[in-house]
Amino acid sequence: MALILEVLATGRGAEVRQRLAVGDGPVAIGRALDNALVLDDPHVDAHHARIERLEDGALVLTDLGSVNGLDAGGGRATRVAVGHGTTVTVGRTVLRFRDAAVPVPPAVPLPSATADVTVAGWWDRPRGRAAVLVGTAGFALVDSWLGTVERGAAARSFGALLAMGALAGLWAGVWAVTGRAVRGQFRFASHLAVVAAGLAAFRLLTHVDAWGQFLLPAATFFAPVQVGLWLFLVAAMVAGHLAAATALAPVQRWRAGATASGIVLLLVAVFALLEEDRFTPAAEFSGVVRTIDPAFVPQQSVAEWGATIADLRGEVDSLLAKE
Amino acid sequence: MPRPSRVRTPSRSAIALIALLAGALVPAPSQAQDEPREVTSSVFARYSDRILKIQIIEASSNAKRSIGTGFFVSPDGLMMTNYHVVSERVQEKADHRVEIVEADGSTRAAEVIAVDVVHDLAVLRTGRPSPSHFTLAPVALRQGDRLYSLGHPSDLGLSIVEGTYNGNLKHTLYPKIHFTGSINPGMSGGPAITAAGAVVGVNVSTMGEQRSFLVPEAQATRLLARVQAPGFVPAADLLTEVTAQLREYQQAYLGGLFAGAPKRADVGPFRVVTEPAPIFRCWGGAERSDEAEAEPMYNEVWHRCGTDDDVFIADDQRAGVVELVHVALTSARLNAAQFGALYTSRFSVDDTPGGDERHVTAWRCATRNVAAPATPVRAVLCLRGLRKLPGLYDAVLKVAVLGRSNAGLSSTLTLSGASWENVDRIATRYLELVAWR
Repeated sequence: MALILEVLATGRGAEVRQRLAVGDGPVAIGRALDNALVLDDPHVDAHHARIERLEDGALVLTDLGSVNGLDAGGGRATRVAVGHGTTVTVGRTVLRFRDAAVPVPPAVPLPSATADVTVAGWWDRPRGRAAVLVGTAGFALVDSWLGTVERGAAARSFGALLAMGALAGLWAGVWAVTGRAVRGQFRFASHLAVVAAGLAAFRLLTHVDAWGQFLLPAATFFAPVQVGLWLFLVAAMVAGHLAAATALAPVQRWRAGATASGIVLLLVAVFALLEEDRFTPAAEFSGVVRTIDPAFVPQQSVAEWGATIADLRGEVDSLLAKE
Repeated sequence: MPRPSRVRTPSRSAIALIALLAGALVPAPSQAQDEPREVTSSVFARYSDRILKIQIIEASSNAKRSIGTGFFVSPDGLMMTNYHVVSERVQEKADHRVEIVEADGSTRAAEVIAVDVVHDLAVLRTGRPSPSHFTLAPVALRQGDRLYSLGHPSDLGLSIVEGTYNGNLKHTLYPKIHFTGSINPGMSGGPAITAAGAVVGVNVSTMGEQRSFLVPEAQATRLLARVQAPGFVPAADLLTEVTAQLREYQQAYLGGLFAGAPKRADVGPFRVVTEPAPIFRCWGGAERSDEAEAEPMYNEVWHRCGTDDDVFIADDQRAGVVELVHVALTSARLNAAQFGALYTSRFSVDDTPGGDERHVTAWRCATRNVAAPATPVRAVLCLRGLRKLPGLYDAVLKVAVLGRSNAGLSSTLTLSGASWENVDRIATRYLELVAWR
């Protein structure tokens, strides 16, 4: 029987750090470099133990008079017979013995040909990151410049961009540090690129929203579409983060994203229901005005406006009737 | 110009005391008059027993909510006062009651039997004989004639204030007497009389610094005549009467508003309506985004017209307010997108009046782009209903002229306590009245 000696990572899980086939000959274990298995563990002696095959074929791990000895689960021992499944603690290192012939499950097929590209997304490629960062910065700059009516629009826009960059950097930094602590991966630039993409999408949606309000103030389909777009953005952010942080398949990532969106939708709906009957003295209306040629702006006739305000009266009268 | 404030005392607050002190510091009236002090003291001695304090008692706390003044106008105990003195009793009948306070401090329940909300008058039935009372009759006056206003300023006891008659106010829908004398909170509903004891008007409001206003005697006489007519029965619900009066009243100023060819004015590159009726006063101004520069980023010209007058309905509710505000924006330096941002920021301002849930519904707004005859516009109508005055609405119409990338007009029309017929007609008609020059 061929036996494999596994050195396990201490702490979480049972990750194997090193594997060694135990043949017939003795295997010396210790911190000194002349051992067959070198353990970088300060609680392990220079020459700590040795595996030997007895005449009857059994394998035995023998303590060589070490400071901390061996522990096979029953306290300190000087000799431990090892076979498949034996676990021995040496210093603070755990050694596990397994039969080389233990069957393993078949290989998991790759999710799809493109999945690999998605997992290592554009945010992991310098060119992709640069494109998104530069694109977002340029878009934000032009966008703030077009929204500034005071003198010094360019300087103000740069100021706004710096502020936005600082916030994005802070956000990405928090996630990078978190990622470093949890997964050992810093990936600040990737986080920054994803934040930038989210900000760009946010600004873009704000414009879509404003133009929709301007061109189609009466559209009833617009609000649900808008809500849908916002929820999609939430789902995309969640799915994107999962792609960067886990090896989940796209379907699973998007399912998680959709769940997050659903929770957001639920919270918003509950809040809206609670607020529905609350009195607010402020008026809500869309004051968006755009300066395009009115020929491109759908308009209603004055008579249709009359019908619109008659409907409005009906709405107010139903409020009056409520009490 | 600020609107005059009603001179009812909400409570013995610091403000009321300040108002009183201010009144005490006013210099003595002109010495040209012959021995005014002797006359004043004899006026007070002769007529003070016809004037009593009125207090509104809040039912759950059994304490004064507000005070005012009233005066007897008939031998059978009918008392004249202001509507705004007793408005809480009219608005929330179950929660308030009216008491009159006799000279010896004893109180007696009184009931509101008729109101004229438009002229801010009310008649109380006190159920006590009043052999000493004023008889309302027309009185001829010249500007500068000396008048005496009596009342209970800030609940400090019956007081007499000298002042002069200065004719009727212009820019009001119905005449109001301009009385130069210090009417202070609490004196509302008291009489202003001549030395001979003829009632000239009823104390109603003040703008401070001796600029005070009286409801003319003629209106009080009309209301009293209605109450004294044979077969008069007090309305079961005075709010119904208030609603009917407001509906009728608004036909006088809203019925013909913007009809025919209203007066127009040029504001920036736009032609807008101005001074829709003689009772409106208009003010204007221009602002540059940057005073120091030769060519500012944009120019803002405003033109505002409003009625000085309004009708008191409740503490935080007025009717009869009509206000027009035009703001013209022009720019030679902003590009189309920047101008759009500026225009949006100005047009998005919510200038709807605030309100209390007890009196009004929440605002509901409709926004559309409308092909008005003169120019395409973006129109917003915000509407709310008055809960206690069914059929009356507050409305704010906002109109933005579309079509140019460097000029825009944001025009706002505010109506309060208007019937739907008037809101409907005006909100449609108004769209035809904004145009390019």
